[in-house]
Amino acid sequence: MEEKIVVRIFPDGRIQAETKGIKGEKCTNYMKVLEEILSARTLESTYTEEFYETEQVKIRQTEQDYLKTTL
Amino acid sequence: MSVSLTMIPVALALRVVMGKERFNNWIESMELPKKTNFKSQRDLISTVKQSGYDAEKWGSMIKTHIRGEKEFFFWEVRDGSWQAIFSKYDSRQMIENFMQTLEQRANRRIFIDTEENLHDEIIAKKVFPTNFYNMDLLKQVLQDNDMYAIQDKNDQIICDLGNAQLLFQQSHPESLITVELVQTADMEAVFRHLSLLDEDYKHYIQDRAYQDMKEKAEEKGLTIENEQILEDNSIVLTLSIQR
Repeated sequence: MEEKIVVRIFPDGRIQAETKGIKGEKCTNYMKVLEEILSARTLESTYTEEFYETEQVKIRQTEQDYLKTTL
Repeated sequence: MSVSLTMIPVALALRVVMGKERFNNWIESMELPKKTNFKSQRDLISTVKQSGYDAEKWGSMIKTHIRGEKEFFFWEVRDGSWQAIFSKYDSRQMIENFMQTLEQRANRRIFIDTEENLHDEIIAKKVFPTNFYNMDLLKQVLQDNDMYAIQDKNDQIICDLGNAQLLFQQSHPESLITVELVQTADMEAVFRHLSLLDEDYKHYIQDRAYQDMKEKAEEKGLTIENEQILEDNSIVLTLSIQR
């Protein structure tokens, strides 16, 4: 899936952003990028199930790597 | 979709809610009662009506319009006497005109001078918070709205509205800008000006965020793929991540 960010800038100055197709902690990096570009600070962030799923995959992968090196 | 963010530009606070409804709520708590010598409800209604004003019964109160249908106040019994309950932020001139006109037309003294009433004549000096953090941007918004403003050596912005003077101050570059209302004759007019400033300031913030995104996205590895303006005037940008 293509990686995208949809940014909505409201007339009252508020900004909402959603990342699409960006997996794991890479999302968090883009939060900082958006804050820098827009001279803004994040008030609230909500991680979706997909974020946690990809995190779990990474944890499992890390566990597997650990087992490979220890066995 | 992986993460959803709500952000606010550093030049903006969303603490003060402006707008007409807010003003009406605020004004309700700012009463300015004027005592009268009306002997009874009948005396009040007949005198007010004979003087060319209306006097509608509203429960235990009487409603009278001034300046046509646009403005009104209530008469109410308090401490055993009928009182005209104006707002502290009604135009002093309008209140005085009404009181004088009523007394002239009724050909009698109606309103009782009290120490409290005299005290009310002292011009209020009040400080309120705003949603603004950026003095330069505020100055720009004031100029664009044809509000005459000068910045003094202490970096305060003084704005003359004719019948009122606004003093914008910021104690620290990261602190919220406050507005002090000096020589205020008509609070409602001042509040309208502040609401307009608030709205325009936010439009500038929206425009600045859009321009920043257009100018800086590329250098951060993002490409603007699509732009859209929604019915509520929100700007929606779809960015793709460069590989």
